[in-house]
Amino acid sequence: MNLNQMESFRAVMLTGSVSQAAKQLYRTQPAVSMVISSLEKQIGFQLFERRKKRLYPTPEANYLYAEIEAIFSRINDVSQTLQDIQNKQYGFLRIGCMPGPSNFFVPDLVADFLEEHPKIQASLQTRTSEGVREWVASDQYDIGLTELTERDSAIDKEVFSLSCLCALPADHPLAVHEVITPEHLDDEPMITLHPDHSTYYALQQLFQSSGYRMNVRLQTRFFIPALRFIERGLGFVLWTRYPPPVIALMHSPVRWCFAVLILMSA
Amino acid sequence: MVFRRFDSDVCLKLGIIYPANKPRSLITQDFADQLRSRIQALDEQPEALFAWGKAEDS
Repeated sequence: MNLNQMESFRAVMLTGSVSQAAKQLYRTQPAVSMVISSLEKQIGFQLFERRKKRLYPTPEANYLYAEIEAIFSRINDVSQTLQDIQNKQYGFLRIGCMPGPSNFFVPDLVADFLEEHPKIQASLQTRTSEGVREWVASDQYDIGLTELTERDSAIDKEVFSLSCLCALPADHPLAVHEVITPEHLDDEPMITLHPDHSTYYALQQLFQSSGYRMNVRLQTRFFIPALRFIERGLGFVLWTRYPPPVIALMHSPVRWCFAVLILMSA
Repeated sequence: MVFRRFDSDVCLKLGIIYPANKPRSLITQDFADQLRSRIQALDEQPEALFAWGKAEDS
């Protein structure tokens, strides 16, 4: 029994006549009649009794109809799912995220996204950058937000080069400057990320080549604890921002603010 | 809190990443678009990031 036969049979059952079924299916009456006759021959028993131009379903037809109706109900479900997929309302999104953004804007972003896509399910997992890269590479996340290294060959990536922005208390003496230079930071007590972080090495090189002293007072593994020191009024932070123009041209001008250093208040 | 530009070449490489050579779903692409936009918006106004954290704590 094929789908065409099921469709014709179902239409006759629903309408009670071949002519009405033909109208419903946008086919001719003889075509539908032929399908039903052919089906009865194929299955070897009668589906309808013909009396005075009316069709009356046999008990066997009712049994068959219940099965076919379930199939059509499932087909309707598939159509709805297809429509949901087209409207981006179906699926499961697995997001891996490094700790900093996981504590700030990403939950807000995910909440907005789920509001816009009420049928979608999502998972947001916070991992170290290395963890996020590994899990994305092994296809356990669909998308990740992470710091990058030179060794990330097992992932596809959009790269944002982010340079520094200094965040500091509004009443700090350095706040009068529009641009903070390494000279301003000479021997200032700082809080930095851990020494194996790429920005630590770059800052160390910067201070050494400039002839200024990098006075590390405190190190943190993640940015969030560093930010707490700022909130407690203990210092100020350098965030990444504004790469040189040539980098902006190469990588699309996206620069995200991110803590790199914290200077302790004098 | 105020923000000031730091005059150096020190930069951080951040990435939106995906499994390599794998087709991305429509919802993954849509979320990536919104993530990209949000990063750009925060870049334009980094103070908003910190203000959000303070609002949540209060």
